[in-house]
Amino acid sequence: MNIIECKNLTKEYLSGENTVVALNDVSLEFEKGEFCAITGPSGSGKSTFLHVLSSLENATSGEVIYNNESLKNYNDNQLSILRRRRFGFVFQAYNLVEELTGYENILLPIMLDKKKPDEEYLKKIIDILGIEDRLSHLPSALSGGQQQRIAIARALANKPSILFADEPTGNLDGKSGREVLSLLKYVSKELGVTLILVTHDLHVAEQADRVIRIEDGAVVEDSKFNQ
Amino acid sequence: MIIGIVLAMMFSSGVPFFISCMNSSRDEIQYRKQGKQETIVIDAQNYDFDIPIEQGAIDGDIGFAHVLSYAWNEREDFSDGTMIGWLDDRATELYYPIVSEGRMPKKQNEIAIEKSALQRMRLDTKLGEKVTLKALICDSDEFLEEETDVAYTLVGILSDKKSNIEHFYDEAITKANKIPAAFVTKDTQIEIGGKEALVAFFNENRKEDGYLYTDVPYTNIIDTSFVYYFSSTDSYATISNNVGTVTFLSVLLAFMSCFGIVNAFNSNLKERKKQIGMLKAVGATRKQLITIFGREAFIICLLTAPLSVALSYGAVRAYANIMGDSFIFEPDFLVLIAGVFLGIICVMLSSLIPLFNISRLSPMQAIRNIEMMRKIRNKKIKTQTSFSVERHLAKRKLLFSKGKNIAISVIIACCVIISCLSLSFLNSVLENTATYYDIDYEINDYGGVGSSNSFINDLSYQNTESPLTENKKQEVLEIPQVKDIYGEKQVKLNIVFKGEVPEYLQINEYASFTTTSSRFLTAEFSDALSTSGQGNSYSDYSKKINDNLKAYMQAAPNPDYIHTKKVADFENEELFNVEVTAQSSELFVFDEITKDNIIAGEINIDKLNSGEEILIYAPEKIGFSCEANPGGGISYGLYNLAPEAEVDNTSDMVFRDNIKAEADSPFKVGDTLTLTLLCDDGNGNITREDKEVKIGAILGKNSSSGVFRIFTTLEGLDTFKTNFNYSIFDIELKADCSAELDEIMQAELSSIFPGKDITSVFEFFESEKQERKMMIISIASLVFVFLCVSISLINNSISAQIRDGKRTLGTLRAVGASEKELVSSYIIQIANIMLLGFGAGSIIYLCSYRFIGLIAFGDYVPIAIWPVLLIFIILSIACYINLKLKIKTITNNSIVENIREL
Repeated sequence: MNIIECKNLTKEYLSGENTVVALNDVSLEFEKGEFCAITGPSGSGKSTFLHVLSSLENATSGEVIYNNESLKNYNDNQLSILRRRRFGFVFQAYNLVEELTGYENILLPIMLDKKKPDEEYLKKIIDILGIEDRLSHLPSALSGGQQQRIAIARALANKPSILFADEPTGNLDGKSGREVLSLLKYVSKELGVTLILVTHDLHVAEQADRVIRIEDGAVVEDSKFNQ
Repeated sequence: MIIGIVLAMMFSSGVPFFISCMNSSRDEIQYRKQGKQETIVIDAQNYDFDIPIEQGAIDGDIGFAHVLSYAWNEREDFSDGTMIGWLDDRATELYYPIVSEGRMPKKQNEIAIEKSALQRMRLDTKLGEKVTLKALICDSDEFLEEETDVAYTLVGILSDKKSNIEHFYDEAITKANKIPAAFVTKDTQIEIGGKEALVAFFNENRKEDGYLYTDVPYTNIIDTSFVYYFSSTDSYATISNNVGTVTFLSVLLAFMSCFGIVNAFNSNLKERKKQIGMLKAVGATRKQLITIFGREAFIICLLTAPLSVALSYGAVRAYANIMGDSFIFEPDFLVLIAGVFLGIICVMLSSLIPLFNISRLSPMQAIRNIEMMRKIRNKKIKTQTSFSVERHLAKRKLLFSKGKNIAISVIIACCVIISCLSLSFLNSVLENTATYYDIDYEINDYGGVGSSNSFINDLSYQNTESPLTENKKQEVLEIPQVKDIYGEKQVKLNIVFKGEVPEYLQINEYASFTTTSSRFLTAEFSDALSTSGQGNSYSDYSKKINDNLKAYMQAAPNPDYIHTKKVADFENEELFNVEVTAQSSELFVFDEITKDNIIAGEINIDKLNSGEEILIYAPEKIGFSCEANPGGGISYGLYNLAPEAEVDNTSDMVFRDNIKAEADSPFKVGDTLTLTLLCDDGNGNITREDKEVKIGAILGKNSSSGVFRIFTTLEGLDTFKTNFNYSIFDIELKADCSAELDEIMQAELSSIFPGKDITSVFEFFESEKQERKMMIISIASLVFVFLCVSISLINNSISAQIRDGKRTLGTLRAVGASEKELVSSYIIQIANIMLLGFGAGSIIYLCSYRFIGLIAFGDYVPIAIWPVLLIFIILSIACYINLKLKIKTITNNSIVENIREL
């Protein structure tokens, strides 16, 4: 069953007088609970694809369908609600709110939704991620790996259907990167979350159920593995 | 940032421009009213000025008015004429005649006349028309006996100057009569047989103060500089106060703008912190960094300087134009250069502050964002397990940017204080002028009161010359436009005392410097202090006043008083001369007679009408203030010293600090006073009419003056056998006055009261309107500028914070924050900053409005709450709109753009 799909996605940028085609007529479907890695060389359009798919950016043409409903029909406010309730994001540069402590950053989507946090669930995530003792620190007092764990916890805090991760290990050393990746994989399986991850690291991609390769804005390979 | 720099340079360079404008305008107003000279000497042909010139007592050359004749309208009064003459080049420069219509005469038999002289002569001649006058030709100090007809073509109407000078002070009236108010062409020869009189205009060298007076008697000198110095009611004094105020406000504006620049550069450099870190990492020294970025700032300054200085120049020029002809803005080259330099220097200094700070960082400090770590080092951050994102985030941001926000709060506080004070001042001006008069015209005649002997009423004047008669009153009532006419009579009465006059009334006698209404010739004392003599320095005058005031005041018995006592058969009694004011009982509304102002007793109209009772104005405690002026003469006053008494203005307060004699009132309600009315029938026959009256009520609880007076009704005054004419007519119209109606009324009243000054309230209101317009423009500009600067600074700060937090905004959007939540978070931050500034500003304004108002506007400013609310609403709306627009710009970009751009 598809949780999210895109049809004929095209994204063009203006660069001076030239038009750069970042995505060229991409159509893909993603199943619930799937761990999908999107790979490709630098500048191929893989991050742009993730951003458009996750509604962080608008497509020039084409549409994204979530739970059989086109996101074209959503206004800004509805998209905000969708992002805070159904999507989770992990960025390469962590993107934590500097003024909030680790725990407050984790609570952010829940608090935006004005809901009571599920303490048990949050404890479970925090335990899995191993960040109990870093929760009261501000991001500037944390290492890159710790910040990324907080970012993953924040992305999972609202029990999202889909977790989008853009080069989540890109800024981390090998050990931290491996740890973060296995955590992502573990929590997505454990919590039944669809994980769509952008990476140029083949070792990371190897661990996915499905690998999509994008080159020059177009899908050149879409492989599924049974692991 | 560019807009911020332009604004900062504009306000900085505006400081010298505004000061220059106010200074030149102040001088111009003074020159237009009184001329540029400090001293005028009449009958100057009698004195040799060579010695004072040689000794340097006179600064520059002396200018002379060559007075040829005294002329008057052949059909009208001789006394309403004017001197005709011409000014030499230096006198033209110093006396500074201002042509309001037409031009100065260029050909023989052309004439230009001052406006009030034209009115006094009742000439309705238009420009270009012939005017024929009767004239007496000057013969030095005197005139030739024979009257001559002179004919001129009127080519110019001049602004009043002679009439302004003669209103300096009482003594100037007679002196100024010798100054010409009508001018013919230069080098016009006097008629054969005549001899020119001269009026000298010059400036004194103040180092040689007093030298001139040893040769020229005081009676021939008009010290105009004395008036400039002590004048407290005209626009000269107002503008003098304003120079200080404008300087203070300009500097404050420039300071605020510079603060804005510091903010703008700070934010600009913060964005480029990584670049600075990289430069330091590759070996750039601190000096090199300051040079690189300082040069950049300097180039921006140079590029924006022409626009900024032009804007500044244009703003001051526009202000001067709006304010009228008297406002001059003609900056010389030095002022222009000062404006440009001040602008550049302010911006450069402001830009260097953040540059110095940032250049001190180590390369890694600059590259890595360790600012947050520094900020949190000394702050206790407690993790919240449940929070409103908007409020919590705003709270944290405020915590981390405390210093910066306090500065913004200070700016808001300054804006609130200045704007609220300005608006309160404007409010008080508008309130005070809106309900000033109930009448439309007033005609005065004090001829009867001002007769030669102050103790005796001059009936010959009353019977023959007094124009304000009952018949005239009826004539006015017959004018169709007139609704009613109210009369007031003023008569001289004497209170008879068996023994010595009470101390309380003696103090009243001290205050009779300029009249001869006292038993002693205090005017002679005044002259003794002021005129030439051995050792008459300022300190000597002061010493005389301080040492034995009473002895000096009572040194010279008044011959009129001795004569009066003798002819009226009061050999064994003492008389205290007092002015009685009588009004119609239906209009018994003297300023002083209000319920609030009654000290004791009550006003019983029937008893007043029957002559059984009178009202006295006698505050419970009075004081006489007297001090020598540094420029010559004496300033004095009689004040109500009761605690409830109103203090009018600053000068009033100053005089009240110099009380030389004081006394408590001896009067009680029900006391009987013996009054005597003395009249001279014009042939030296004195009639005496005595009457005993009771004090019905005592007034003077809260009025400022301490001068003793008696009030009654017209009917009460009529209980004396002698009938008096009116001193004042107040006329009320049926409809509101307009320019056309005013013209008709002035003509009607002039025909009924030829030669009398008719005070038109409409005219007064028109000039008030003009003044109010100027004030509204000035204050509105001031508030507008302050609001603009404050809004610009607050918005700069908001923009900088939004720019700084763009990535956070992107992150918040990514995790599901809507635009509304983002705006709310910033609104909470701004509200906190604004409330702090508003709170502080409002408290300072409310607590110290009297003190600050006195410094800023030279007067007490009544409190008003609405300006605080108005300023709050304006600032809030402006900031909200800016915030909405800024957030909208951010949300119009995609989340990825928000996050990536940094």
